[in-house]
Amino acid sequence: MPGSGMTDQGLVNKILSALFTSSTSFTITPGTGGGSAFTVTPPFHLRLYSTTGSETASGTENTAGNSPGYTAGGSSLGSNAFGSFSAGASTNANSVTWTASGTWTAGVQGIEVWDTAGTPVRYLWGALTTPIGTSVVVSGDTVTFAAGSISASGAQW
Amino acid sequence: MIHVLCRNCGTFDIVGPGHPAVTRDPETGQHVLTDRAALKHSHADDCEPHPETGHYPLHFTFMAATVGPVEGGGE
Repeated sequence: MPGSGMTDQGLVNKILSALFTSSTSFTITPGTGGGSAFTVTPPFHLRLYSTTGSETASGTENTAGNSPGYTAGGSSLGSNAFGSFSAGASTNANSVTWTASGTWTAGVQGIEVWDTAGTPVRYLWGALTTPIGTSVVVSGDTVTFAAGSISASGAQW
Repeated sequence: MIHVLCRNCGTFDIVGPGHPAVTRDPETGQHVLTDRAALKHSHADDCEPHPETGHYPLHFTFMAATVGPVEGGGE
């Protein structure tokens, strides 16, 4: 059964591939009355959240204070964040790892993907299938998102 | 699911619903990895914790998360 979206999936594939496979900044300029120009600024960063966000608001991001070894703002997903989109979906092209230098008193419930503009823009958000609770990650541990582990889907657009 | 690898001895565990280290959050229904000690069973018999921290250094690998485009733009 088709999704509940309204957008042709071929167009969704093109738009999302353009956004998330680009390694260079580019600007989309609307026509008259279409609002401000929109600049896409890779590389995209993967951020960790102790409270998962929503469609309209960011969650509570982990910090260096409650998750030593992690820095607010996250880490790069690489020059090409995701592979080319097909059927409205794709996965992250590269792994991302943090090494804990102390106990993570904050859990990891969700993730978000932001660009690296001067004022970063949030693009994607979602919950982890199996989150990690508080104080489970300790010094010397590593936390990794494997390549292909983050599924981005615009199939319901 | 989370793959957990002991950085000392390389033993490996797949953590998800039903694993003794996982509890179900009654409010959200999510299965959360909460009990680090329950991961010990996956270590080899001769694997010892770090002498200073008392912990087995672990490598956690998240294997699944689904994200979607944000509506209404970002910050």
